[in-house]
Order: sequence, then C-alpha cells, then structure tokens
Amino acid sequence: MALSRRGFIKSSAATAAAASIGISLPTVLHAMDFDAEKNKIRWDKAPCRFCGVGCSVLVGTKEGRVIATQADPKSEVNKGINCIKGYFLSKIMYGKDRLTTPLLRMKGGKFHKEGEFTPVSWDVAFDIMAEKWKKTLKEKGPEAVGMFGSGQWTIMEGYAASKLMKAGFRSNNIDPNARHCMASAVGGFMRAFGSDEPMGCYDDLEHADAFVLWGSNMAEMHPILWTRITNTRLSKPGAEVHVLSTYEHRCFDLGDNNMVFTPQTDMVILNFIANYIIQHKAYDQTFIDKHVNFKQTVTDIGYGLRPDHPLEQKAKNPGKGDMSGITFAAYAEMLKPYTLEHAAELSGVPKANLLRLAKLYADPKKKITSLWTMGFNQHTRGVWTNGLLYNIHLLTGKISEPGNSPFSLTGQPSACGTAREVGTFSHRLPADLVVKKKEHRDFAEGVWKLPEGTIPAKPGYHAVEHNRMLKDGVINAYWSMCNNNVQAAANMNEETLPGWRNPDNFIVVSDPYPTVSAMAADLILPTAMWVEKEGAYGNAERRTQVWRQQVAPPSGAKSDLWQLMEFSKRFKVKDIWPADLLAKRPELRNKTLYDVLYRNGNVDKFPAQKVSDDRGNTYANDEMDHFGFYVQKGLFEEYRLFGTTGPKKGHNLAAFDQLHVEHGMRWPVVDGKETKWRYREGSDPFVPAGSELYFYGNKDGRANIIFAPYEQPPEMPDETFDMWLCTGRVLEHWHSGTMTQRVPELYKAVPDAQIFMHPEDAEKRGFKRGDTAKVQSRRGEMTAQIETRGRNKPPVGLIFVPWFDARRLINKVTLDATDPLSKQTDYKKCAVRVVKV
Amino acid sequence: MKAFIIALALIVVSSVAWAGAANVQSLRGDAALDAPSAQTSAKAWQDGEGKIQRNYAQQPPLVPHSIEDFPITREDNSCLACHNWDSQMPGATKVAVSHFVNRDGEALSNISPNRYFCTQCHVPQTDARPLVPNIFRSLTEE
Repeated sequence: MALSRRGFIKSSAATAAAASIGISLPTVLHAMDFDAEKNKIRWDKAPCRFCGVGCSVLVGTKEGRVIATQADPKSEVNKGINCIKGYFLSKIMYGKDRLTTPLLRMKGGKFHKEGEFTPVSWDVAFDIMAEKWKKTLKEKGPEAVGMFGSGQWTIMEGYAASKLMKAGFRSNNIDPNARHCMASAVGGFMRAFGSDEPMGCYDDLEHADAFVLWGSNMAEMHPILWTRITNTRLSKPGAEVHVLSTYEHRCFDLGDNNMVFTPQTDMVILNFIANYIIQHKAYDQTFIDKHVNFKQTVTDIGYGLRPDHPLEQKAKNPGKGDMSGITFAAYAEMLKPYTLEHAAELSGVPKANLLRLAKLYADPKKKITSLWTMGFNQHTRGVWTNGLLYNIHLLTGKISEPGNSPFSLTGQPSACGTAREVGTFSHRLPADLVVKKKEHRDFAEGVWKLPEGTIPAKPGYHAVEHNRMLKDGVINAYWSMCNNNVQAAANMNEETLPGWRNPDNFIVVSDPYPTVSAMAADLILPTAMWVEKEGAYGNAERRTQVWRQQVAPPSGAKSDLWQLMEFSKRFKVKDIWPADLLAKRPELRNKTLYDVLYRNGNVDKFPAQKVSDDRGNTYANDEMDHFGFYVQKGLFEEYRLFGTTGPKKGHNLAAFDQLHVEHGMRWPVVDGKETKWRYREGSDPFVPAGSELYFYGNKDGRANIIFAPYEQPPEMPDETFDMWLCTGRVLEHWHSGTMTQRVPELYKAVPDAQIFMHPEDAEKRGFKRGDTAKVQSRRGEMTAQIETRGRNKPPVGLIFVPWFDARRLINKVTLDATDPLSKQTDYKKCAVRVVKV
Repeated sequence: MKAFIIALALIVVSSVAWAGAANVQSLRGDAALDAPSAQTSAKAWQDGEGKIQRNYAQQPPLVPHSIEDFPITREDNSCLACHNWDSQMPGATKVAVSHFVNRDGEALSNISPNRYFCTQCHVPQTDARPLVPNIFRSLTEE
C-alpha cells in the first residue's frame, strides 16, 4: 500500500512500535477525515462484466476513476454478495498496458502483413480498413467479409454490428463467440419449444427440493447461483444435490450423489432415466396428452469437421437435423436398450448412484431443477443431449413451475442478451427470427426501413468456419470485436493461426488490451470497456440490465459502438449494394451506411440529453456527445420493436427508461411487469386463459420429446494418445484471462494453467506433483505443471486443463469437432498423451 | 528459477514501455504465438507473512496462508475452526457480521448457509509476480 507522505509521517512512529512487537495497527482516524466532500463516493449499479449469472454490482467512483466495487443489495440475483471476480471488478480497467492508439502492422511507412505494430490515428486506421473492405466487397462480394462478435458486447453494440453486417454489407458472416458456449442450448430450445431461453428463472433455486448438475461446475463458474443452491441444500429439510461430471470438482463438496462418468455417456444415462420412468409408469400421462409430441431425429450426423475429413465422409447424414413424428409406444421401444446395466457399464457410474438419480426424477413429489453449462453444450451431440434432458422433464411434467426447471446456464455476461436475443449469429435475426425465412427478413427490413431483399437469405459462415474460410482465403476482410478467438478457438495450429496470418487476409481486432488475438491481427483498435460506456446486458434468466457510463475510457480508446458507427460512415450505399436493390430505393444511393442504418428516424429518434439518476448525480455518455443523439436508447428502442411487434411472441423487453430505474427485469415484460415462469398461466401473459400451460413457441402449443441414441465421440483415447483431455475454466479467471490475469489478486490466486491429473496416472508416467509436462495431441502441444492435489480431481485416464493462460495455449491441442447441428465446438473431449519435457 | 524471474521482469518492463512505440506485447511477452509454452516454476503460497491489506472496505480479505489442508465439505468447514466469531485463534480475521444474515435479510446465530463456501470470495495468494502492473488506486493511496 502506498501512503501519502503526510499519512506516512503520521503513522510511521506507531507503525514502527507496532512492528517491533509483531502487530499492525489500523489507520488512525482524525475528525478531519469525516470531510463529507472528500469522502463522497458516487455509487451506481452495473451488471458484472464476467459470467452469465448477471450479478448486479455497485460501482464506486471518485474523481473520474473507479475506486471500489461492491455487491448490489437490491439485486434479486445476488442480494449483496459477489464472487471473488465481482469484488475485484474495480481493477479490470486499470491494467497498465491498456491500448490507447490504433496500431497497424507497417513496413516502410505502409501497411505490411509482416510489419511491426505502429501507432496510427483513428483516421488512418479506418482508411486502411475501409480500403480493404471495399476492395474485398468489390472483387468477391459480401460473402468475403466477416465479423466475429461477442456475448460480452452490450446489447446495443451487438445490434448495431448485426445491422452493419446483415443490412449494410449484406453479409451474414457474423457470428459471436457465444457459438462456442451456447449454440447447442439454442438448438435444444428451438427443437423442443420453438423459442430460445429458459422457461424458469433463478427463483427455482429456492423452490426446488433437488438439484441435478449435468456437466456444470457451478461452484466455480456460477458462484453466486451456487451460494443459492448451497443455501437451499443446507437449510431446507430433505433437499439434495446430485452432481454428474467427467471429473471431480468443487461441486462434489456439496453433493449427496456424486457421479463421475465416461465422456459422452451422459446420453446413455439420460436415456436410461427416461426408460426407467416409462418402465415404472412414473410419467405424467395427463401432461403428456395435453402438452407433448414425440419425435425422433435423424442419426449418424457426423462431427462438424471439414467436409473432406474421413469421419464426415463416413457419416450417413452429416449435419442433418430432420425430425419425424413417432408414437409414445415407439419412443418407449427405442429406449428399451438403455437399461440400468447398460448405463452403468458404459458410463462407469455404479448402479446404485444411477438408480438413486432415476428414482429422484421419477418421484412425483420432488421438485427438481436440472442445471447444465458446457458439459452439455460443448458436446458433439450437444443439441441432442439438451433434448434428452428436456425429455425427462416433459415425461414427468416437471417444467415451467417454481422449482421444476430444466435450466440452461450461460457463460458470458450477455450470451443471452446480446448473442441470442439480438441474434448476432450467422443464421439469426433479433427475437428468434432467422434469415432463411422470408417473413422474418421482411419484418426486419420493415423495422429497419430498408428495401425488400436487403438481408441475404443464406446463413453465413459460423464461428468455426470463419477460421477455416480465412485459412482457405474465402473470407479476406475480418473484424473481431470484444473477444479473444485466437486463444479461444479449438485447433489453433491447424486452423486459427494459418487463417489469421494468411497473407490474403486483413484482420482487425478491437480490444482494451493486447490479447493473443490482437497479436495475430493486422490492425488493433483500442477499445473502451464495461462502465467506460453506457450499455445493457441480458443474463441467463432472461433479465435485462442497463448501466450508465461511470468513467471515461483512457484517452484514445473508443467503444465498440463508436467504432461500428464511425466505420459505417466510410461506405456509400451505391458503392456496395447491387443495382436491383438500389433501384427499389434510389433515394438511398448517395447516403452512407451510417445514414441508412443509424440515422433512420428510429435510432436517432431521441435527442441528446443529460444522463442523471434519482440522487442528483450526472453521468457522461461519450457516444451521445459524439453522434449528437441518445444512441444507446435509440438502438435499444428500435431493437425492442422486434419483441413487441415481431412475428414470434413472448419476447417483449422492458422500455429503456424503465430498465435504468429497475435492477434488471426478466422478459417477456408486458405492461411494465416481468415474467418469472414462461408458458405458465398466471405468470406468462401470453398463455391463453384456461390452458394452464401452453408452449406457444410451437404452433400447436406443444413441446417435443425427441428421441436420440448414444453415438460415439469423434476421437477417443487409443494406444498412442491414451488420455482424455477436458478443458474449462477456474473461478478466478474469465474470458480467456485478458482482464482477470491483469488483476494482481486474481493472478496471484491462480497464476498458471495446470494439468490436473490423477495421482496414479502421474506415477505411471514418472511425474511428481509440480513437475513440468507436455500435453500432446495429433494437432499440437502445450507445457504446464502437473497438479495431483488441486481443486479438480480427474479419474484415471482423464486430464483437465484450463484455457485462460495466454502463455500456455491448450487450444493448440484441442480438436475443432462440433455438434453438427449447433456448430458448437466440443472442448471437453479429445485424445492426448502427457509426456516429459 | 532466477532466470525465470529475470525473464518475467523483462516482460513487465517491456510491456509497460511500449506505449506509443512499436513494441506491443500480449501476456505471452515476446514469445511468438506459435512458440512453445512459457517455462513455469513452482509457486509458493504466501504464508505466515501477516494479513494482506485490502484495497477498499468492501473487498473480502485475501487469505494470507495456504488452504491446501483446509477442506470445506458439506459436513465440515475447516476455515471456521479459526475464523468463526467465537474462535480464540490469535490473529485470525473473524467472519464479518454480514455473514450472519441470510438471503432474506434475517439475522442468524451462525454463518448463513449462502456464505458457507468461503473460497468463492476469499482466495490465498501465491508469490507469483504480476505479468503487468495494475494502476488502480484505492482511496487510501490518494
């Protein structure tokens, strides 16, 4: 701690005396220290920058700097508690190496792919960018430009980016990093319920009698929700916690029924439970008759690898998601092979544990909340597996009511709010609309006041394809914002790096810090972050939370929103739209994309105003000052039209001004009231009177039980690569460590990624705890220390390695196989060996 | 180990010094993206060196000792042996009164169950040197 000189002199004598007897003294408080002006801290709410739980924090500022953060006692999510990351939010903006000027690779005064990063002005940066984009659009068309976005973008930023790409450049090659974490969840929701995002909410955590974790280490990844589960488990008589994972982790410390299963066999366990429920007639016949359809899905669908990969060539139905209707009897028949014996044999979980779990789901008196994150979603059969869990909740009618809740958790702070709800995916538009449906495109074009045919109908390249298409030289101009995909994407050596460094491509990275991705770029844009701008996030329980700009960014850094809108000024509509589209609206010819997209009468509807709170504080809004209108409000209110007037009902968001007052609201919000349980009469205003429960996302109001069989993962341990690798995160680090690794306290808590390994596996290979070892796969290697006594305890035959560490990149080792339906990478399973350095 | 520390120090210096110059580095320092992983060395837990100063009143205290031998399970929280309000352990920070209030705001006679897993907020510190400095300033540093 650095004391001021005066403070030092004042306390030094006492300190010296105290030190001599081995104690430290508290700072002496003088009457003058109560000076009200001097001590005044402005506290204002903001959602946490990190995970999908969406805790609200109070940000303390003084003289233009954040000086403290604390948990928001008025937030229903966290009620005055944060996790360790939340308590250190105050420091994430103050890494010494914040970027403050655009940096362009240059040689001899010009851009050069192999040049040194050289400071340039924003004008020069946008000049070269625009030149590259225009050249690419002219020579190859919209499908050769791409953007990689983020579940950490604010809602307004994601919306502005989506408009720029889909309507401005007319390219659907925009995809968020949420593809890596939530795409399988989206696929599961759409196939079962016809509408994305959970029916339940966090209130289920107090209402449930039992919790089942399917591939989710909530104790580390969703700590505040874990405190709520712990609270219920320890204070509610009869409450129990079941934990399933491919390795032992901190949730096992609370678990009543802990199960470590062989990777991919969660599918077998899920089908066994459904089979058990049917065999024991524990299903809810009335519920099924009224609310459920039975279907089966096409099988042998491949692994989302490149089409020429032998496994894709071998698959009968690569990428196919077709479903066909079946009877309940046929469904029961398909489940018959999934016996207790079969499940125990394949999964390696003792029969007694499996039976206890099956009996729990079958017990009509138990209210069950099932939770999952990346274990289900980063899975080559992720969409199917999400569905297999819904099957169980639908068979027993345990859904959409307090405590009975299949609950898909999210990883990023606005994976739901920005990536999913705004639809920044290559196939989506806001509020569950999709580009391939003409009715949906027509509606979007109507809201955006653009001619029919502006939005292309063909879905763009998804996240994993981005890197493949960069490598193949199909995409040549590429902008990555608010994420770190060179570190995050699988198979860095074979796909990501060759793609980004391909001499045919011009790559731009916008980030507050020099990340691994920034180092792979050609142009780096210094970016404002978190409370250096006004914004909104949406969390995993459909809660939208808005915040005000608390401090100014470092001089030179600009928000993603500013960057997107400023860049759009560089393009004239006539230069990039085709003649037939221009002919429909000739008056747009000479306008810029900025005029057409953001000065359309909607986005610029709200004039500049003073931003203030009800305590008399005022706040800056740099974008409003720069563009001359209330940009965030205009974007949000235009976006809100998709939910309030769009073809898919039940997506109504609260008004922007109301969200500034409330500590978050859960959509659908109608007449100023939020919805806790979707599809349930009395809670969800869209359920027709008298129907009790209505899954209105599907036309017939019914949810789908979809049979899917167990299928093997693409790569399993063999003689050469004899271990499973599972990757993931740790409590102290988030978002590839770009922020948390720059907070000294978080860095010092967990400085390095380690190889978590079973002691027997270590001994067999001649390793002691702390030894350095190499993890090798068919694709690459990384080096780290062996940890046999840490917080994660893998079974024999599996290692766990976290991916936050820029200095040890585990994604050089991972496989870029995806779920063929969701296109989400399976980061949880590939074959490796661990050898001496 | 010594070489490692020197290398680390170089990284810190150069990543601070780049501002306005060509020399921009990620947390990898000067290691290229396709270079092997950085060398790593065993880190020791800060242990027995006294309490770690907080940055602001609302910050949970850091743990100034190793916790490897102090498990928290459903049956037993070994942190509370020294840190509960009635502990006699000299020097051990007592659990704050905020921890005796449950989610509904009711005062309890023991730790609230939603505060049971201490490590969600309180973490020990290794002797690792930060990769880049952090220029956050607390009120006490003004």
